[in-house]
Amino acid sequence: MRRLFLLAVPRDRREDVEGDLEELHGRDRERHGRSVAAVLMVGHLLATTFAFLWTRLLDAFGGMSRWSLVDLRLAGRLAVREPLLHATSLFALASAIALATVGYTMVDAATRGRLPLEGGERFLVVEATDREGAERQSAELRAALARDSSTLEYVGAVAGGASNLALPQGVVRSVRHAAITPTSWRLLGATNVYGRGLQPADGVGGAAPVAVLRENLWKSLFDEPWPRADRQVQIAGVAHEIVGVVPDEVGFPLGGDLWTALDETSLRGAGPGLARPTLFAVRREESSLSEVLTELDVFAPSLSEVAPGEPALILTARRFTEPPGGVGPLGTVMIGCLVLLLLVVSANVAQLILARSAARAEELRMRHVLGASRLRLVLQLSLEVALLGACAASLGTAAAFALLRQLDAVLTERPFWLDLSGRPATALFAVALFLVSTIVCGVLPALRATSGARVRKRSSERWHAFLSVGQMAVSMALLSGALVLARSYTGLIGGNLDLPRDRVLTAQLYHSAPETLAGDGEFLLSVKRALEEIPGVEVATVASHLPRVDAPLARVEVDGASASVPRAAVGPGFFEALGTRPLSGRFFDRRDGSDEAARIAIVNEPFARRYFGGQAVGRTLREVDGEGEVGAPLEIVGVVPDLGLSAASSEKAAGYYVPLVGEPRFVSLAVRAAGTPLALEEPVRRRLVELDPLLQVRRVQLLERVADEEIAFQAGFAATLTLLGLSVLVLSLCGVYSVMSMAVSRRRREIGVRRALGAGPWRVLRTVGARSAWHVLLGGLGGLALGSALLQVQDRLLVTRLPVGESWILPAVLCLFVGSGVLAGLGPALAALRLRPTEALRDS
Amino acid sequence: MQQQRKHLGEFEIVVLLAALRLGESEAYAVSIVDEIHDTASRVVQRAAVYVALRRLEDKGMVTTRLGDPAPERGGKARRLVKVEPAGLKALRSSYGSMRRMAAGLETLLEVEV
Repeated sequence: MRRLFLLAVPRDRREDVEGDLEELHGRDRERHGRSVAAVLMVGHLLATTFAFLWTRLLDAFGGMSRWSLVDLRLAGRLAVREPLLHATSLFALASAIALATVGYTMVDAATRGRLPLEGGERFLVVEATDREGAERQSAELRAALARDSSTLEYVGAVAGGASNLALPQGVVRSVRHAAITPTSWRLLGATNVYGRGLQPADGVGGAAPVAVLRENLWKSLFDEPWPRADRQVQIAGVAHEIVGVVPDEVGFPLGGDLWTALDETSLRGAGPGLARPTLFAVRREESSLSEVLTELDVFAPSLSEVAPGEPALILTARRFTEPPGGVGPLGTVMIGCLVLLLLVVSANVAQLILARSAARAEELRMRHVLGASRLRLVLQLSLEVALLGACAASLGTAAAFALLRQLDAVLTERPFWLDLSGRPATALFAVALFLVSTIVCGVLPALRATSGARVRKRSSERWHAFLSVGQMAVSMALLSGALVLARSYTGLIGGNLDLPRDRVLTAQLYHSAPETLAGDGEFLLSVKRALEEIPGVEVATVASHLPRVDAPLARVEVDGASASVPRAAVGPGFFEALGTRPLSGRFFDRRDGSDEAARIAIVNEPFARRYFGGQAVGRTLREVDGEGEVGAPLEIVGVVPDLGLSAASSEKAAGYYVPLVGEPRFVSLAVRAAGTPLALEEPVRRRLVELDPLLQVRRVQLLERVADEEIAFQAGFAATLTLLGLSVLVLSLCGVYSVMSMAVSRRRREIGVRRALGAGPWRVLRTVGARSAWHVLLGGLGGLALGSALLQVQDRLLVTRLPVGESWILPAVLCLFVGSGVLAGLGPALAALRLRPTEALRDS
Repeated sequence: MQQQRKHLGEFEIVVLLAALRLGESEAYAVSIVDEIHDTASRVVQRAAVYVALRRLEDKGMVTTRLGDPAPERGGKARRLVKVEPAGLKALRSSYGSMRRMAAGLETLLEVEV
């Protein structure tokens, strides 16, 4: 406040203005007392400051036309004289704006998304639980809310999930299915491509089951145009008539392929493959969410009258697009990382601009002495930095929008309301933020240079040091993570496993009643038998995990030693389907009854080699459960080659197989074909629906494509980490460069004196580069620690086990780091070495 | 040097008149504000008076000098204002214009002195 006052009021007017303020303060104290006078004083001070500031600004801008062109020309000449510093500042600022825009858009879309429907921001999910936390949504609750609520204009219900859709001619699809109260259909605002949407009459008890399809699904199922004579389909085993087709843009509630009607009165009719219906509501325009919550609090106790005998309910509501339980720990970590990254980037940009302006401190001081006012100098620097900022803003915003377009195209499996298109308001926010920060950073040196006071250097240098070291550590950690992922990625795509190509069709099996799959194994055996009846199928089998998908780790004891190794449960014919042969011993077969199955195992070659020196058949291992109880010994009956128990890391592939008996809730299917495997897709789907209409077949693909999704994910994740790591690396190297440049320009005279007194090149280099070298070294050591921690976290977060044991990664990144640091410091160091003593002393 | 304006702004006229009423030894920002308040029943911002005085000074209509330090002002001096002949001339011109414009409208304007 005081500084602003001193800046605003001209030096020759300060004494009398301060006297006036003092006089007024004395008067106010007499009239109103000390406290009121203090408050009034602040008002007097502010009014005076702003009046003078305003007058001076008007005066300055009045004369701007005269000197703005001169200043622009000067800025251009400076940019040409220091191209590297200006290019670096431009890059840093553009990156900062791009990162801020992309990050903010993604976080904003995830946390504050809006349904793309009319009044979409007013859609709510209503949650009802009892005191134990069990869900208690019901048709009665919906009816009571719809009848009595004054803040909700509509209450509906929706259930989502996946179901089998079967055509009479035998085509079967597993589709995303939503069952919805038909009166809600009008809220979707869908204009039908063909036929009609759901109508209230479809939700009356006893109405014929009908379905509405998405256009894409319709086109993939039917060759003939609408209207077709026969639009009867089986959905989860129940006959439905297709009454309409809607455009692909319709996605409520969570994206979907088809919609069926819930019974309006009982909310029944969701079908066996769907979750329980969830209540959703649309609040009135004039009511806020907090008013809805208040009403629900008041409303909950009265529900005991609606449903006597039911436990007391807790009612709450959240925005439809808000994730249940809020952003969650992962979201919080993401936002935290984003804020951290932005802080690093902003601080870097500030440091660069500061270095740019600080290099001109002498020039500014000289101009001030020659008569240029402080305001004039500040305005000139602001103009220069604003120009730099404007160029960076254009580049950064363009890059951000391009990146968002790419993300929009790549992230197809996201909720339909998640809008990743760049919003101009977000970009403007980022641009304004960085323009303000750069202008502030740009004008600070001008204020310092013209203040006449000695600048306290120590605190700013400490801050620079802390910043440089911190960002180098973050950069190194990110790059280490990226390198591990890249290594894992190469493991996934370049594994030399002996697996058949274009022979085996795989799929995942789901059942609407999961306990069916986890029974005594008879059901899965019937699946195998049914599939092997299909012409063209050589062997069919089921397994908990397919090759090249990470099997979960199990603790085992082998010869008294404990280890965690991957374990997969496989059905009869698994190894035969993969076309492999035992290296020794035998496979599982039908002789292994359920009692026998509990006592045998097959290990892979890496396991046999590591724990038994290659001779594993006849030896035993023991499983250890979660409580540390050691189970009965499992006799090893065979050894097979490495079949990809660990997806990306052959070092971690040592594991074992046990017979699949009543374990998994979800299983995978592998079918070895005599001919083309993909030709078996339809017969397999059809046969399994005949066996059980609630059995769904998803993700049908060839064996060699099983890991594709994981590969794509890891490639994307590695690319993101690499991009972030390189951005931070480049920015931190910019920091090294700016610190060294500042050191050379500040210590020009000292370097000249040293050279004049006979100091050699190493001595000079030590003068200017010692601090930066320390920063690089400390940053590298910090990065080693942070990198190790990140690798551990990454290993736990990701599905695929990473090759974290590879000890060369961190030292390699450290070497890269030190090398880059040396390169960054090379320019200023050479400038210091080229400095002639006579020039340095004459200039100073 | 900026070109001098023939006519004064309404606020400038008020400030000049207050300075004239107070006299050379008593006219400074705080007393000018008080004078305008007491005589014209008009509340003006002190900051606006600073700005107006600065402009009038730039135009050569007033000059200022620092008076003696006063204890009630924390030992700080007053900046005393003296209306210069150029200021008086401009004031006369503005006042004359206003009178000519108001001639014949006395009843309507209900001028009371």
